[in-house]
Amino acid sequence: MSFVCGVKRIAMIKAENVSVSFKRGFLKKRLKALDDFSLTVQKGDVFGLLGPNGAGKSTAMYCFLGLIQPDSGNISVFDKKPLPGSEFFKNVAYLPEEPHYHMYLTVEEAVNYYAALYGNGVSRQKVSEAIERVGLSEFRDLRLNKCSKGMKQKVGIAQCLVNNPKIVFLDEPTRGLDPITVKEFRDILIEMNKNGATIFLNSHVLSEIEMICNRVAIMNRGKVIAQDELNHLRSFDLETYIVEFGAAESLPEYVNVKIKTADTIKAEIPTEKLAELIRFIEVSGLKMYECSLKKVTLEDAFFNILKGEK
Amino acid sequence: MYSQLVTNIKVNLKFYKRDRLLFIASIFIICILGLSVIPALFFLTKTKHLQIITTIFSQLSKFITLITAALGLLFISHHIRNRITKMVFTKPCSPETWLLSSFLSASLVSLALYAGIFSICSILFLVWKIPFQWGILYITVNDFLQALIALSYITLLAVLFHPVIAVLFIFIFHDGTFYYLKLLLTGGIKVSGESSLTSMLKFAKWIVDIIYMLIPNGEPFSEKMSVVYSSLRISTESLQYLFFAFAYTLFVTVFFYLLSLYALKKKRHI
Repeated sequence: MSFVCGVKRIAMIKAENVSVSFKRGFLKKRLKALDDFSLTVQKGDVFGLLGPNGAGKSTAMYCFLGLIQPDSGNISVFDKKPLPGSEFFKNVAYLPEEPHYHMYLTVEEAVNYYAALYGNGVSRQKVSEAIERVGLSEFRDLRLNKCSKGMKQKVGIAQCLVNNPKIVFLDEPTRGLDPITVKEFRDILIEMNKNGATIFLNSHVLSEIEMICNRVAIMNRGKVIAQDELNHLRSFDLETYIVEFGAAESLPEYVNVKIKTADTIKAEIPTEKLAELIRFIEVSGLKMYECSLKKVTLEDAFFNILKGEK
Repeated sequence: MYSQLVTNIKVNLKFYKRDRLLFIASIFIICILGLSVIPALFFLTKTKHLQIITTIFSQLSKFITLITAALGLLFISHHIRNRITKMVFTKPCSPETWLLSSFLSASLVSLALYAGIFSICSILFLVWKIPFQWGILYITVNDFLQALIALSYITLLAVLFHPVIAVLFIFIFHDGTFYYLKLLLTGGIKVSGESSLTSMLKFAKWIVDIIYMLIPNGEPFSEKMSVVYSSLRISTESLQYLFFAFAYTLFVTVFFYLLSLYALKKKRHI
């Protein structure tokens, strides 16, 4: 348990010094997927786990779901060790990266089946509503093996909606979805979070993380190399200004042009040169359209942290 | 657990119904068996009607045993290899329930098929005006128990191996192979006398004996029950052996269920 600004924060998901390795190849060479991996997700967080391919994001999620038992270290979700099929899944929803669903079932049968596994608490109406919410009403009788990738993903989202989960695990959730569905899905997640659900998601799409997450961890080679509030990672770069002004033939050498069109120039300049540039624009009789401190995007932070790691 | 068991069984039955491989395999086996049974219906004289009934029963029974094993093998392999179990075990549905549902659903289909051939044979008794022989019920029950033994063994193999390897494994590692090996080694020990080879043969026989004990007997007490199979007449003694066969089947299914469960829990469902 931790306190932030006097508010009691409860750790919902916790990993402490977790190591997982896989045996690969004929000689069963050991490959470390997680190496001294530690992470904490607080109640009510929308937590994003980032990292390059092979960083161990999915393995970490499998550990939280009890699908992999770590070689060493501790995993706890709701203060319990997750075990496959245990009662703690009553409050958990999981959307897998690959559509490993019961392909021989129809859309409605599949969502009904997954809902029924939660016990008697899920009504048929709730299933119907979930199918409608993801826009699959007219395909409810279509077998999953005949569905497109995006439709299968929607089935996965629908089955996450049926049991009012307290924790939602999402592995690359927007893979194969069209932009409209992505937006709807984002709204669903925000609504679930407002209703008290903690959301944990793996994604390569930094803009997606940026839009919904409040906390982020960056992984590389099986380790968490940064873990912070999104706002802290995505702060302002006080050393650099972004300026946009009318096009000029010659520019001072400190102006780092980013975009140049026939009419305008968008450039980065060091903060100490700002006054000098404003004078130059005035003297040249040009117009200034934008002048602001450079904002560090999640993408910048991500690459900076990874670069620092190397 | 009960409601989850029922839910899983319903879904498993849908898998059997919709699996094309299973459907094609069933049609193929039926055709093969049909080719061997149908001529008998035309060429045998009326006095051999009883023989026709037992032929039909034994052929169809072989088919059901094969289908029961195939149901178990295909279902488990399909779900584990396609990582579908991931969607089940991330719900409050334990591996115990899922595995039990898989076993029960295959058993239910097998039971229904055995009930079907029992009905066919009973109808033939009526049509051909032969006095009903209760032995047909006896062998139906016994063959069903044998199908359950095959199912429990193949369930374990399906959890452990690729389905092709599981089938190859069952062809080699069945009680018949090791019974034959036991006979060979016993003969070898007698012939070798006191030579240095004897101790090696004795050791080999010891290993074979252990494996023979571990591998389930596909046809328990078959020698004792052979009279019922040939005459369709039941005695008190034969009923006793049916009870023994039931107890053995119960033991084997529970033992292999627990082994399969252990193997399933050790697997990484990712």
